[in-house]
Amino acid sequence: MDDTDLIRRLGDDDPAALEDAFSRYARRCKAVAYRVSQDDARAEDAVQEAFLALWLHRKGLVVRTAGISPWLVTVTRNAALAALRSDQRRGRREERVFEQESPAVAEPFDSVSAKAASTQVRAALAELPEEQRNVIALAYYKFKTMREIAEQTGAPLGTVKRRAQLGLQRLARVLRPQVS
Amino acid sequence: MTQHPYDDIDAFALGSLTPAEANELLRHADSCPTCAVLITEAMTGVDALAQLDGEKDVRRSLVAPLARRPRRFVVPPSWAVATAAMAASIGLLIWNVNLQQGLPTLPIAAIVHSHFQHHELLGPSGSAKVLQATDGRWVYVVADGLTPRARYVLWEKRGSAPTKVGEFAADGAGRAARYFEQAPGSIDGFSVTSIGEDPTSPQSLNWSQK
Repeated sequence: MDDTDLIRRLGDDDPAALEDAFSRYARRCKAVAYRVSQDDARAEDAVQEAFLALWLHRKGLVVRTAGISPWLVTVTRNAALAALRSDQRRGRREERVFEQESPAVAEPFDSVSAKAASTQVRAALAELPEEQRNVIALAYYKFKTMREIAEQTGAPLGTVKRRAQLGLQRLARVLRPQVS
Repeated sequence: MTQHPYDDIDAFALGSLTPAEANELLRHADSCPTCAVLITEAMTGVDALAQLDGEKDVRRSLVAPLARRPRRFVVPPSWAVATAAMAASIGLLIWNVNLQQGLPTLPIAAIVHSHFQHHELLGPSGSAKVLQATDGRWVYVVADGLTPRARYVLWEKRGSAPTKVGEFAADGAGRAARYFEQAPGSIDGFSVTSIGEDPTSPQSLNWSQK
């Protein structure tokens, strides 16, 4: 689904465009936030924060170039992670996240194209060099900061950042033909 | 924010920055084409990961081995520390010097209206980064560590022999940036050479599609 018109309308300060963006992406954002927080209210807060940020940055270059979906997914997840980190019970909650068998939010990605994309991403992950895959896994699935990953793996901080960069670049390449 | 926050971009995309740091980064990128390009790339990677969020076997296969792996507290010999530090420094240098503040920037219209990729060109005579429209309609080269005020050639490879994209000149500090428009098409590689040098020369900076 092309976001070009949505981005143009946001840039023109059209509030209805924000509503349309919400209709299109809120469900996915909620799923992303819930994966992190495992808490319905916190997930809702993260989504609300992301859409407010979308409105505030609607004329920004990243919104216009990234497309709305990657922008919202990243900002929603960041908001959920910030809330998680501020929680004193973080450690206990993280364990719960990893042990959780089934998500409370229904998976929105059940279309044929989404499944095909998922297969491509899986393949790209499998092909990443181990050290890049480890950094991505620790950051994305275990919510570690780059500094924490450096401490845990014994690699210099600059090396960890570089591995994250290379890994994300490869994953981005997988999706690029679909967003083009 | 007066400096480009290159080091924070992937940390931001993976959720490692504080909310204040993340907001500062986004504010900067709202008006910085170069950082917008790099953040977009990182965000797209995270978006790809998010597509697998519901697939628990992926999570298990990635995270479980890490959880089982004992932490290693082996103290490396000093030469290994030095080598690792040097490698990290070179990696950071390559990353940081390519896109310096103060150089001409990519035309905003180019990245707003097209999708793009970026490639690092590596070689012994400097370092360069090339941003290209996915359809090949434009390329933007940024280089550093070049001979001050020397002229260079950007080459591209479209299937067979390298062809010349255009020339550019380094400034007094050995930095350069230049934007080129051209016919669309799939690009398999880039090289940067001094004027008169062959693109296959060992002195050239190169990137090629694997």
